[in-house]
Amino acid sequence: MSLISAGRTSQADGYVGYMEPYATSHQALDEDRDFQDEVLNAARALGNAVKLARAGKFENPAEGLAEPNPK
Amino acid sequence: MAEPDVRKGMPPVKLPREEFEKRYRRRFVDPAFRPLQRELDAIVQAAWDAYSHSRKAPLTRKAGPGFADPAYEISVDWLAAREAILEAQRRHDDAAAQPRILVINGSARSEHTCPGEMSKSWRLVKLAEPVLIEMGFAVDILDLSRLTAEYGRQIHPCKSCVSTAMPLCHWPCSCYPNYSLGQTDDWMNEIYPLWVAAHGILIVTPVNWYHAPTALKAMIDRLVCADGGNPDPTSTHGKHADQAKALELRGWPYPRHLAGRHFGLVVHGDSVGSETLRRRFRTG
Repeated sequence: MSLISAGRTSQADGYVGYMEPYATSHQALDEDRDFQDEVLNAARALGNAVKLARAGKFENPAEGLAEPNPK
Repeated sequence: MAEPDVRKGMPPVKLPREEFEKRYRRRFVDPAFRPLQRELDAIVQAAWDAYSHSRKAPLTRKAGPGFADPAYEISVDWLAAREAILEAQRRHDDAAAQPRILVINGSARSEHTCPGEMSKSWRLVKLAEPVLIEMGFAVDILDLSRLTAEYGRQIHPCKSCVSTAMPLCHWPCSCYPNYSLGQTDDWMNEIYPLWVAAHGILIVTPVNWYHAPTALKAMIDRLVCADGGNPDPTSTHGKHADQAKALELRGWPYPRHLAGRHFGLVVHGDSVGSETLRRRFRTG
């Protein structure tokens, strides 16, 4: 797709209410401050990447490189 | 190199009238339709006419300048979708305009239909939104749970025209709406401009069977046209497989229509599959 990753922090994954009942999973999210913060960091990292790129400070390392087989 | 041929031989799908009418009528079950049998008969007659004559796109106009075949009659729906993405690209490229982040809720769950409760993904989208606004972004939220909860929202499956030949895959997608097959209410013509206008995209999703949930996967599949698709359907005169194959073999540039946008991802599970799904989203 030629999208540019905003870095590892922008790619968060985790478990909310791991192996606990579905019925209480929202409460599990309420209490999982760490995961909420990871989500906020993912958003911030993405926002930072866009801002840096627009300021000319986050170039695409693949810029100008030709794909030998673009399929 | 071998001459391309077009492989056919699958079982037929065209319905006889009786079966078509049976399928068309089966949605009119509500008692409010009972006194309307004569009206329904007239409507089904017209629907059969449209179906049996394969009128995929009844409203067309000439493509005009800028296309390989300016005289080709092309769907007005497609022309409008194309205009929308061109306008979105203009906004995107305007350095003075506020930068935009598209945040996508990949969960199907909604309090407004069977599950009766909002999703955790939705909460995480709404958690991220104010942070992005405070950083100075305009935030567009694409809530894919509307596919399950809202009337008239579909994301029809990608037909995989790309696998026949890349130039057969049109940008934006020209497969839908297909009125003769009843493939209407397609949401993608509103979704493509959101992607085009965005400078950054954040997908927030749960895990279904170690994979993206249906709505999210459906949207992603329908974005294949952004990745090398043909912006000129007149160059293949619609869906002519042989013309598209010939075009591809002459050398296809694979235009990357969403290149340069940044990407973030939040995947959350209850038991298994979270890291697996995160790794599946390889955005190369």
